[in-house]
Amino acid sequence: MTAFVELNNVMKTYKMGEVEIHAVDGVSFQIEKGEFVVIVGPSGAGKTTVLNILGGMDSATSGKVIVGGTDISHYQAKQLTAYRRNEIGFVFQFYNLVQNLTAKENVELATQISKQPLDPVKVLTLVGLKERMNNFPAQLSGGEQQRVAIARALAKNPKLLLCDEPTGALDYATGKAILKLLQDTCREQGMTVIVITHNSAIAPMADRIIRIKNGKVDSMEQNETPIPVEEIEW
Amino acid sequence: MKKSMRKDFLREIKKSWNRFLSILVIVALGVAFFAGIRSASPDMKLSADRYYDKENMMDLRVLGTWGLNEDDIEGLEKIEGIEEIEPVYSYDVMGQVNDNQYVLKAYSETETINKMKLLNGRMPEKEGECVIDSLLLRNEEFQIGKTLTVQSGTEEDIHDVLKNTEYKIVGVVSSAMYMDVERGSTTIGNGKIDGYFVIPKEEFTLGVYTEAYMTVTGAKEQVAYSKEYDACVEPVKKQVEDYVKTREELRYDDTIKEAKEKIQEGEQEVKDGQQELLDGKEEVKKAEQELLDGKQELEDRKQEVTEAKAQLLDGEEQIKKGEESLLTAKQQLEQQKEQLLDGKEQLEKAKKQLKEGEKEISKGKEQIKEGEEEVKKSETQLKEGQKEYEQNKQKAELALEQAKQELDSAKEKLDQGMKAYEEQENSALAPVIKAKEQLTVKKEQLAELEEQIKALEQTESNHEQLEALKKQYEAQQKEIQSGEQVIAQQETAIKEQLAAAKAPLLEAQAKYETGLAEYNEQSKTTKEQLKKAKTELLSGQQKIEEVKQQLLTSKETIEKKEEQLKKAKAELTSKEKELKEGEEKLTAGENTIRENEETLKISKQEIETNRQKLLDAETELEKGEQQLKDGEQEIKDAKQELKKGEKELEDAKIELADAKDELADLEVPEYYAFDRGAIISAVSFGNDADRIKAIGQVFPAIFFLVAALVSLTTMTRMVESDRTQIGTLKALGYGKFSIAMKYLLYAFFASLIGSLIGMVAGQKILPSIIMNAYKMMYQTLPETYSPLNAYYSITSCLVAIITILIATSFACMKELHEVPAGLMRPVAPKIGKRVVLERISFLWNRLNFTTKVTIRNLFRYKKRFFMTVFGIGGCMALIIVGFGLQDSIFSIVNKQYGEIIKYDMAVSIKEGKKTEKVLEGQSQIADSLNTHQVSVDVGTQNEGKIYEGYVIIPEDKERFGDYIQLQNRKSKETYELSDQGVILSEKLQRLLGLEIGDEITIKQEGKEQKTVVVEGFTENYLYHYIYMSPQLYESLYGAKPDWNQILLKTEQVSEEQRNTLAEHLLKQSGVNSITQIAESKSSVNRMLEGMDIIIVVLVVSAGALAFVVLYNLNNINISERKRELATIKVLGFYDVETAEYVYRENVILTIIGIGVGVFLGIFLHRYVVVTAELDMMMLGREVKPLSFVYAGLLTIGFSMFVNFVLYFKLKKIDMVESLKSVE
Repeated sequence: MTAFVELNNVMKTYKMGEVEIHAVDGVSFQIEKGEFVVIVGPSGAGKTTVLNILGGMDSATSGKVIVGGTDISHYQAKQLTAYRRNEIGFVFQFYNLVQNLTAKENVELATQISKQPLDPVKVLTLVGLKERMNNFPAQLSGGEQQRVAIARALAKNPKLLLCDEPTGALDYATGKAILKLLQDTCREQGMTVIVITHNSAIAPMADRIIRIKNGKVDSMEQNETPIPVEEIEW
Repeated sequence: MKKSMRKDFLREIKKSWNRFLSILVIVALGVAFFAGIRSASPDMKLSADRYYDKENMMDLRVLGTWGLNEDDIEGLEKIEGIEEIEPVYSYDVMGQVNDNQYVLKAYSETETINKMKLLNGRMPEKEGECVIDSLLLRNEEFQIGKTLTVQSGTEEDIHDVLKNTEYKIVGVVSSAMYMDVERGSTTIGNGKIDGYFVIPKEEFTLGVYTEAYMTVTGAKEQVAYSKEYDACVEPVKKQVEDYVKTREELRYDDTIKEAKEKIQEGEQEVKDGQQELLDGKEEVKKAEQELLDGKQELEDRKQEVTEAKAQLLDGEEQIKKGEESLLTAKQQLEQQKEQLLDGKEQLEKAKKQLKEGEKEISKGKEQIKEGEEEVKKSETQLKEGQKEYEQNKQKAELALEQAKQELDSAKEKLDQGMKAYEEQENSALAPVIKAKEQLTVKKEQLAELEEQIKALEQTESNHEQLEALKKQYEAQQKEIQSGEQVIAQQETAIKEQLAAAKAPLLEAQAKYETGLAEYNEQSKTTKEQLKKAKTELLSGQQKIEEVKQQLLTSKETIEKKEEQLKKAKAELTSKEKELKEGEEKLTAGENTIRENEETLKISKQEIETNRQKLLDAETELEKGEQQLKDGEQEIKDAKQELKKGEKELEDAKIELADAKDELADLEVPEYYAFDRGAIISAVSFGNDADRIKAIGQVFPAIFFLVAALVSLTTMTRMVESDRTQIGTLKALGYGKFSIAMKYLLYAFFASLIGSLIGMVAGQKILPSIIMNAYKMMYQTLPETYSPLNAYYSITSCLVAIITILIATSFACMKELHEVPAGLMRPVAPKIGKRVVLERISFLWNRLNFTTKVTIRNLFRYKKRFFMTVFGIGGCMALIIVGFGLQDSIFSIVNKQYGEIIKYDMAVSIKEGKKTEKVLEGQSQIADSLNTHQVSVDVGTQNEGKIYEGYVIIPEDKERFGDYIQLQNRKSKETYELSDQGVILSEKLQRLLGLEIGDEITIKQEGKEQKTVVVEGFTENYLYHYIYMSPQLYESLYGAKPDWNQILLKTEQVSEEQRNTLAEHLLKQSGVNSITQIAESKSSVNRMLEGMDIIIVVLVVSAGALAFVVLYNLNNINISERKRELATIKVLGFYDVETAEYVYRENVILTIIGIGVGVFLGIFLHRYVVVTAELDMMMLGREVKPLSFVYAGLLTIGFSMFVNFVLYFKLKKIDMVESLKSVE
C-alpha cells in the first residue's frame, strides 16, 4: 500500500539577498491514510514551512509532494487553491474565525465552497457546539472558537486535516480537549490528521511521530501504541 | 525625541510609504481644491484688474442728455481726485459691409483712458479708416480691408455726426469695456448693439462731446472690485455727481440764453434777409434799367462806330490827296534844286572865270612888271650906251642921276609905301595893300611888257629882243602868278576885308600912279636928254618909250579888265546872294515838305490808331452785347435766387418758430455719472468671479472634509497597528507625548508636504483652468494671472495641517489612554452583531450566505461605511453637477429654442416701414405674425434694481402662443395675454422677487415710465421678456405699437433654402435685420461650449476624489482584514472569490454612495446653478436622467478602477499571515 501522503526530498529555499536560506532542506516522509501524525520540532526548524507546502499554501522549491496519489509539487496557484479547497482542512493556532460571522456561519464559509460539504450543524454538533452555533466568535471561549475552527475544517470533508499548533493559544485543559477532539475525529472518521507542534509531550498520542530539526527530518517513528490524550501530561 | 524614536519614525515613513503618500495626496488634493478654487475668484478679479490697468480703464464716466461741452470738461478736471479726464464722442449708427445691417456704436479713438488693444491690422492713420470690435469678426463679412458703410439710424443727417459714411476696416481691436459679447442697447435698429468701431476724433462732427472718461487718483493701485477700490472711487464719484448737478441748471440757462440770442439773431437775420430781399429786388430792377441803358448805349456806340468809320474813310481820302500834293511839291522842289544847282554851277564857272580873269590880270601885271624890268634893263642898256657915249655921259649921267634920284625917291616912296603896306599886312590891310601895290606895279610892268611884246611882234624886227621880252614876260607872268597865288591864299581874308581893304589900296594905287607919272616925266626928260645925248640911242629911247606906252596901254587894259572883274565880282556877289536866297528858299521848301510829310505821317498814324480804336470799339461792342446778354442771364438768375431767398426766408421763419417752440419745450439737461458698475462686462465679470467664489465655498469643503476623514481613518489605522509598540514604549516608560509625537510628526510631515504641493498646484492650475473657461465668454481678457494668494495659501495649509493633526490626536488618544498591559494584549476583536435585517428573518433567510456576510460587514465597519458612502456620494454629486450644469445650460438652447420659441425667423423692420410688403411674393413662409419689440428697463417701484428686458407685443394675441410658448415651467399651465396685465419671464420674477398681481415699472428709452400688473411668469431661459397685449400697450402709451418685428414660420426647408429666404427678405426695403433661430441656437451652443471645460474639471476632480477615497478606504479595509482574507484564502477561496468577498461590500457601498450622491448632486447642482447663472439668463433647474446615468456609470467606473488596482493588492496577501499571531 502506497503512502497517503508522501514527501520526497522536499526543499524550500528562500533567497535573502546573496544568501540562500534553506528553510526545508530535503525532507522526506510518508504518512498512511487515517493516521494521526504529529510533526514536532523546535521553533524555526521548518515545520511550519512543511505544513505550508503540505497545505498548498506554499510550493516546494524542489522535491515531490504526493497527496492521495497526486503530485502537487508542480501545481499552479489556482490548482493549489482547488487543492486546499477540496482536500485540506486547516486548523490555525489562533482559530482565524471571521469575527463578523456566527459559529455556524463560519462553518458555512467553508462549506459553501466545498464539493461535498458536511452539514455545518451536524459538524458543530459533533464538535459539541450545538448550543452555541449562533454565537459570534467573540462570544465564545478560546476552546470553543477552536472547536468552531475544527468544525469549519471538518465540514469541508477534507482528505487531510492540518493543524498548526492547535493548542498554542489555549490553556492546558482546553488544549487537551481539542487534541481529544482531533484524535477522536481521526479515529472515528478515519481522517488523516497532521498536527504540528513544538510541544513534544503531545507526540505519544500520535500514530506517527516526525521530528524535524534544522530543516531536515531528524527522526520518524511509528507509534504502535498511541496513548490517549487524557493520559498525556505536560 | 530620542534617537531610537527618530529612527523608528523615519523607518516608519519608509516602510509605510503608501500610507504616507495617501495622506500626502489627499491633503494635497484637499488643499489644491480649497486654495485653488477659492483663489480663482480673486485671481479673476486680479486678472481683470491688470487688464483694466493696462488699458487704463475709466473709473468714472459722465454723460449728459445734451452732451458735454468744454466747460463741463474743465470743471470736471478740477475736481479733486480726478487723475485724468478724456472726453470722447460716441454715436450709434447703422452699418453694413454687405447686405446685413448691424447696429454699431462709433467711438472716437482715445489717447489715455480706455485704450483699445490692437489685435490685428493697424490703427486708423488717415481719414476714412476705422478699426472694429473683435466681436464683429463672428460675422463673416467683417474683415480687414472691407469697407464699412454707415448710415444714420434716425432721421438725423449722418453728416451731422460723422465726416464720412464709408470707413475702410484696417484693424481689429478689443476693449476692456467690452470683455464679453454684450454691447448694450440703443434706440436705433433692433435696439441691441452688435458691436463697435473706432475712428479718430476728427471724424466726428458733433458739436459737443458725448461722454467723458475719468480715472481716479489712487484707484489704479487698488484691485478692481475690491472694497478699497470702491472706497477710493466712491467719494470722487459723489463729488462728480454734485458737480454735474450744478451744471444742469447752468447749462440750461446758458443754453436758453444762447438760444434766445440765437433766435433773436435769427429774427434779425430774417429781418435782414427780408431787407436784403427787398434790396435785391430793387437791385434787380436797377439792373434791368441798367440793362436797358446799356442796350441804348450799345446802340449809340454802334452809331458812333459807324460814323467813325466814315470819318476814317474821309481821312484816308484826304491823306491820299495830301500825299499827291506833297509829291508834286517834291517834284517842284526837285526842279528848283536842279535849277539852283545849275545856278551854282554857273556861279562856279563865273567864279572860275573871275579867277581866270584875275589870273590874267595878275599875269598882265607881272608882264607889266617884267616889261618895267625890261624897261629898266633897256635903261641900263641905255646907260651902257651912255657910257659908250662918254661925252654925253656927264650930262646924260647928270640928267639920269637926276632922274635916278627922282626915281629913287619915287622908289623910296614906293618902298616906303610897300614897307607901310607890308607893315599894314599884320593889321590885315597891309598885306592887301602891299599885294595890290605889287600887283599894280607888276601889272604895269606886265602891261608895258605886253606892249613891248606886241610892238615887237608887230615889228618883227628884233627877234632876239622879242625872245628876251617874251622871256621877260613869261617871268613876269610867273611872278604875277605867284603873287596871285599869294592873293589866292589871302582870298578869304580879302573877301572879308574887301570893302575896307579897297580904299587904302585905291589910295596907294593913286599915289603910285602919280609917282609913276612923275617917273614917266622924269624918264621922258631923261630920254630927251638921252636923245640929245644919244643920237644913236634914239631908237632905243624910242623903243623904251614905245614899251612904256605899251605898258601903259596894257595897264589900261588891265584896269579895264579889273573894272570888268570888279563888275563881274559884284555880279557874282549878287548872283551868289541870289543863289543863297534860292538855296534858303529850297531849304525852306524842303522843310515845308518835310513838315507836310511829318504831318501826313502823323495823320496816317492817327488814322491807324483810329482804325485800331474802331476795331477795339467793335470788339467792345461785341463784348458789350455779350455782357448785356450775361446781364440778362444774371438778372434772370438773380430773380431765381430772389425767389429762393423768399422761400428760404419762409423756411427760416418756420424754423425760427419751431426753435421758439422747442425752446419753450426744452427740458433741463441731465447729467449722469457712472462708475464701473455701469459697464456690463465689468459687472458680469465681477459677478462671475463672485459665483466662482460661491462654488469655491462648497466644493473645496467637500474635498477638505474627505481629506480630513481619510487622514483620520488612516492615522487611526496606523496607531492601532502600532498598538503593541505603543504598549511596549509605555511599559518602557515613554511619556504619552513623546509616543504621540511619532504619529503627529508623521501626520504633520505628510500634511505639510501635501498641503504645500496642493497649495501651489491648486492655485496655479485650477484658477487658470477656470479662467480659461471664462475666457470663452470674456474673450478680450488677454492674460490670466494666478499668483499664490497668501491668505488662501496660509489658511488652507493651516486648516489642512491642523485638521490632520487633530484627527491624528484623536487616533492616538484612544490607544494612549490604555494601560500598557491592555495594549500588549491583542485588541479585542469587535463583537459581531446582528443587523436589523436579521430580525426580519423571512428576508434574511432568503439571502445567500455571502450576502449576509457582506451586509453584516457593512454594518460592522460603520466609519468605513460612511466614509465610503460620503466619498462615492461626493464623487457622484460632483459629476452630477458637471453634467447637470451642461444640461442646465443646454436646456437654454433646447428649451428656449425648441419649446419656447416656435418661430423660425424674426424679421426686424426699419422704423416707420410697413410690414405688409416685406413678405409679399415670398414662398416657403408658412405663417407670420407682426410684433412690436422694444428694449426697456424693468424694475419695481420700491427697489432700486433695474434689469434690461424686451417688451414684446403681438398684433394678434390669440395666435401668439403658436410663436412663443407662454407657460409655467413647473405646472406647464399655458398663459394667454390679457389686456389688464403682462406676462413676465421667470428669471425677472426671481430677480425682482415678484408674485402674481405685483406691479412692475417699465421704462422705455425716450418715453415715460409705466407701471403694469404682472399676471404670470413664463418659462424662459435667455434674456428678460415682458409680453403685453396690443390693447394694453395702447392704453399705456396712448398709441398703437408700430410693428417692427415679424415672426416667421417657414415650411419644412433645408438650411440652404432658409438662408436663401433670409437673404431675399433682407434685400427687401424696410428690412433691418433677420434673426434665424437655428443660427441663434448654434451660436448660443458655441458660446456655451466654454462650460465643457468646467464639466471636465468637475468630472476629473470627482474622479480624483473617488479614487483617493476608495483606494484609501479599501487599503485600510484590506490591511485591517488581512488575516481574515488570508484565512479564507487558506480555506480555498480562489483569488476572484476572495476579491468578490471584499468587492461585494465595495459594490454595495458604491451603490449606496451613488444613491446618496444623487440627492447630494441635485442639491449641489441647484446651488451651483442658482449662484452661477447670469442675470440675463436662467439655467435649467433639472438634471436630465441620462446625466444621472452617466454620473452613476462614471462613479462605478471609478470604483471599479480602484477595485482593479486593489485586486493586485489582494492577490499579494500572503496566506502565511493567517498563521501569525494577532498583533
